[in-house]
Amino acid sequence: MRFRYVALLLLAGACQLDPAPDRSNPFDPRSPYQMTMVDVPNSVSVAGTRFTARIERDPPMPSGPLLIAWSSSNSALVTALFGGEYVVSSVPPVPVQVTLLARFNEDVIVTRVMTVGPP
Amino acid sequence: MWWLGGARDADFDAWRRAAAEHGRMGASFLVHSARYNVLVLTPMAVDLLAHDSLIVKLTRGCQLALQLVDADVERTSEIGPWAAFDDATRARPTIAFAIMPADPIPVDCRQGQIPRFSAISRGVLYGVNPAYSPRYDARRAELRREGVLEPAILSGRAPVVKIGRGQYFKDGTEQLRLYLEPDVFAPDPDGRPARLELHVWDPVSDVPEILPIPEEVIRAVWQQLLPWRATLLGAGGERPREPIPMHLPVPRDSVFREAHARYQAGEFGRSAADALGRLTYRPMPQRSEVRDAMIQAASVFAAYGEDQAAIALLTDVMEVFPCLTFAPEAPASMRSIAESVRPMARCTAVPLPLIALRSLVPGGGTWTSPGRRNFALTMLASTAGSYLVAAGLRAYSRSEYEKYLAYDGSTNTPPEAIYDRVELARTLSNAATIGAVSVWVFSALEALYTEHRHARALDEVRDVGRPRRSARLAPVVLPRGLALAVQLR
Repeated sequence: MRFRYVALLLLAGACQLDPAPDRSNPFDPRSPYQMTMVDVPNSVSVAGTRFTARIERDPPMPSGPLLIAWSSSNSALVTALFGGEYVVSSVPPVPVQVTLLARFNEDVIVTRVMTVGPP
Repeated sequence: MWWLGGARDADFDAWRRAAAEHGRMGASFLVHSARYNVLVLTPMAVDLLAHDSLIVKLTRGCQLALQLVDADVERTSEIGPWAAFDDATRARPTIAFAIMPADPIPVDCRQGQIPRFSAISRGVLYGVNPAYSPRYDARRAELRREGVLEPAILSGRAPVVKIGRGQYFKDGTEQLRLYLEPDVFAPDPDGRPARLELHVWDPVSDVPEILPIPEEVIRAVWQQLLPWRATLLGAGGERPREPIPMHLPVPRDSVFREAHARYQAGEFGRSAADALGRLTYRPMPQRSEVRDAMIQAASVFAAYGEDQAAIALLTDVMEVFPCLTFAPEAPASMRSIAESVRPMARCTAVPLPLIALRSLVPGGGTWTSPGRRNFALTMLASTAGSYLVAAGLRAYSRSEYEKYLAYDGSTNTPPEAIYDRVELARTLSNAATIGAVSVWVFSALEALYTEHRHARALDEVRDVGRPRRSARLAPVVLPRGLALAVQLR
């Protein structure tokens, strides 16, 4: 009986196969994890408002600096500074929707829409 | 010598006719050299090849290539220079050597071996452009056994008939025929085939061409005449020197079963002849039945003092079953012959649990069986090699994965390309691991199965000749009630 257990254990050990590794690099377009842009106000009505957007994900994003190109769809209203920081340059008389973009590469772009204008 | 002709061979002609009718024994053997073709013919082969239709068929196969007319094809049946010789030796067992020049330009008439042998036995040579060459001309021949000249009963020389393009002709090339006693082919006292050489001289050189007769041919020719030899055992009312029969299982093959019944009934010579005769035609019976039939025949030969025949038969049996042992109930001569001819072999079995335990090391179970060490090393190397490959690929896969994780957009190689490399290496690594495990498991199972078969084979040939004990159960009425009685036989 003991021999059988030993044989089975040995076989199990011998048969150990590598599972597929986690595809968690945020730059990988085939990564299954959804990323969202957070710390972005839904609407801003005061020029000069600054905020710093972050990318959030479960599992967490890797620590350390990432080469992400931050931008906005209307840089006359919202200007991307550096490292996810934005500043509202001017406020239009009527509310305008502005899309903020965090571009990892050609295929991986995280967006968030905010409204700039009077309340 | 055992065959002296006369009274013992009186029935040979009738036996030979019966064999020819059955058409079961007629093997002839071709021995080649650079200059000569030698056909070794048993009496049954002489009868088989004598049919005119064979040579006509062969010639017809070459008719187109050699531009022969139909009349020429039919005329080949008239070629038979040895008919008188064959008739003269008809009533006694002899082995004929037909010595022919080798085909200088061989022509394949595409009719198979038997018609081709028929042509050789008649001294017919087919060639597109045959020309006389003294190198191929056989003028004199002699057979030497262990270097000693064996006198021929009858010998002769005849012209070779050459069939060239559109013509038959004789250009002076000659063929030879020697008829010798079958005892020339008898094995030596140890049961090993004797060394036979045929020396052939051409007309210009004093140095003969020496053709060694292959061992397989020597054995086969000897065995072809064993059935006849067996018929003579006890035919004159002689009694066996030691008690037979020995106990052997009843075979399923009908001819063997009949021979077994005769054996048990005391018709020993006939039983051995029938059993050996059965070995000369297909379909072959089961291997175990062939073995038992040969043992049965050997026991008859041994009991009548024909030790050479018994040794030859048992040598053949023990080549396949080297661990065969006889039970104490078997004739003493059989036991001593078996011990004397036993080849080197492993006649013990390793317990299967031990094989299984050793198989925990790849190839270890196989290594336990002597004689299979190369295979065991191959298994070990294959398993270890596969694991090494798997480990190498796994390490590469992991290092690439580190690169994948570390990608931060600062390099040109896209992360998906790095991940593809990771996946490919990982898949190959897993395949190599599965391969290693498969080889490992296979080597263990193969070792177990092989040893199991070996153990069974040993059991099968242990104590051959032991009477099988059978138990019989029967109800009996005792004063105190009913009971079951066990009767051992």
